[in-house]
Amino acid sequence: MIQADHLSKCYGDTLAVDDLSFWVGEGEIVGLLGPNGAGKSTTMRILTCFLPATSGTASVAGHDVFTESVAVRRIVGYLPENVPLYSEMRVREYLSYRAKIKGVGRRERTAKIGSAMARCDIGGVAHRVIGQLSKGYRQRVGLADCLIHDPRVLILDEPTVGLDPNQIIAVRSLIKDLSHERTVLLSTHYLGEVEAVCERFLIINEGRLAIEGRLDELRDDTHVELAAVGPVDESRKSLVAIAGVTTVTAEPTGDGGAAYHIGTRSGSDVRQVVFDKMVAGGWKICELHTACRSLEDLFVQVTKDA
Amino acid sequence: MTGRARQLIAVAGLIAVPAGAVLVAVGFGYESRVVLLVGAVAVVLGCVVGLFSTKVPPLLGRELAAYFQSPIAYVTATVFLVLAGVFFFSSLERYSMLSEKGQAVPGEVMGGMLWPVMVTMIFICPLITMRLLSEEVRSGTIEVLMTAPVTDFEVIISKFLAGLVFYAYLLGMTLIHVLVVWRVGNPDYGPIITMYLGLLLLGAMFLSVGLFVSAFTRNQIVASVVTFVLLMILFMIDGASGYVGGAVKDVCGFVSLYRQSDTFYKGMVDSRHVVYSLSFTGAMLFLTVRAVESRKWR
Ligand SMILES: Nc1ncnc2c1ncn2[C@@H]1O[C@H](COP(=O)(O)OP(=O)(O)OP(=O)(O)O)[C@@H](O)[C@H]1O
Ligand SMILES: [Mg+2]
Repeated sequence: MIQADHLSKCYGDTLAVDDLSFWVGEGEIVGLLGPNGAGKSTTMRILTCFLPATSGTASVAGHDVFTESVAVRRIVGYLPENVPLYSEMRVREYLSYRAKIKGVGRRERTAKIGSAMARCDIGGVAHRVIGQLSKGYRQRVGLADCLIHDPRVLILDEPTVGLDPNQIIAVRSLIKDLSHERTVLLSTHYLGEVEAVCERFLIINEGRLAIEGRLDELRDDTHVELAAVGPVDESRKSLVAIAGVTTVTAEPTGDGGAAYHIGTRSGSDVRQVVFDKMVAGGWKICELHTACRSLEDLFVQVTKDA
Repeated sequence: MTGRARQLIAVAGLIAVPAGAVLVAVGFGYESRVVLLVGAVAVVLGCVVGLFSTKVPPLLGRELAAYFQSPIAYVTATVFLVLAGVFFFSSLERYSMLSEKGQAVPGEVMGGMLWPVMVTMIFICPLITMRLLSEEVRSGTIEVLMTAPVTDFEVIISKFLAGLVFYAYLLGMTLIHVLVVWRVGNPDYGPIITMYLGLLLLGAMFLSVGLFVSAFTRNQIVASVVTFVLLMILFMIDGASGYVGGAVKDVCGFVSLYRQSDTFYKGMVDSRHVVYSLSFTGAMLFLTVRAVESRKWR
């Protein structure tokens, strides 16, 4: 649905996006992650036809973003980073104006404005002047604008920034709801958000794709964490011997024992065997649990050593 | 509006414009005012109808609402009315000293108003156009505007038309001066009508320059000052013709907006001047569209 091929973008001398290629399939919901200045917003601006790429091509639903820009803009709903809005307009007036320029027919306009306002919970401020709304409400007006023409593709740049915790939950479930019939690309700095709503993630760093993956793969990538008191070398050897264990690393702790990180083959739960081994050796277990690889660890790992 | 109705309207507009243009040419050749007028009306109506089939009406609506919701509009209107009023009454006074009461007020008096109103517009037009594009860039709303399914041309033409409507609104308020002359005398309406036509054409040129300048800066003050300087140069380039000779002199004289307008208040419509203003405005709007596109390359 969204395809980027070797995109690069220079602002004068600064290279903001550097040979970036990725795709987002139809109906997928994908998180675009990266440290500040990584080029997330720039990538989204290219995909929404606001800026042309310096080199490379991109397409949305088969339409090239440069040569068929109006066709792309018709099917994309875009929420820019700082949600710029006309501050002198009233909420309903603004949405009605946006619906008109996005080509929503007169007959369905009222219904669509109503449903977008209801979805973003802004019915209460319909007649307020946008410039006087709080940040969170402005964010929600921007989101309503983004949904008003029933776009097949949503590109959201940090959609939950500035919302209160209740609203964050509401917007996440809204995005999740929407993703049933739509393709969503969202950028965010809240990794929890990606874990909660996305199927796939792309991490970019300094304009380049650092890693991409699926969240369920990340969840399957489990290991066992063990803290036990006893001779380190000996316990390590007996742990490695367990069937299904791939790697064991030990880090000595102050109490004469160690914290073990036990990598396992996917699908095998070795906790009971580990327990038995420890008991057989007469060593004391302080902690034993499975854990999956967190997105946070991965993010730090790929964006630090670059 | 359904897509089909939209298309039909667009086709009607597309037919009306060239048909009207042909009529204008025929009317011009055979010196038939009626044919010429019908042709001109057809061209204008064709353009309006054609624009209605695009995204221009909602865009224009927003621009106009923005004008009338901002205090600058009212300050601008006040300044304009005060200046135009003062100039008008001084020229009326001058005339009344020369004539006896009850005599016909020649169009020249109204025509004499053209010059001060025109000079006032050099100050007023930069105020009208300064926010058009600068403000969108400064507040970042250009990003939501340009990622909506509208073309750059639709955006620029809407902004230009909004400026022109506001300009016409200011100009319309000077009709009260015509009313005064009508009460005290018996004016010749020919020059009055051509004067307003001349002022409209001149305003279109001024506004297109202002819109072009506002595409380059996010600062409204810079936009208005640069526009003002450019308009001054365009207006007075005529003065330079005293220092140069030959073809340059002729070009300076013809390009000068001051010279452009002086036939109108004598009650004449010089077709060269009409063509000049329209093509000048068209060229500026085209350059503005290009300037907005160039934002993408910087
Ligand atoms: N208009 C601009 N002119 C010049 N450089 C720019 C411009 N916009 C962005 N940049 C540069 O491009 C790089 C990428 O910026 P971008 O806004 O895409 O980052 P980001 O990933 O969205 O960051 P953040 O997480 O802070 O939103 C940065 O180095 C930034 O300084
Ligand atoms: Mg950003």
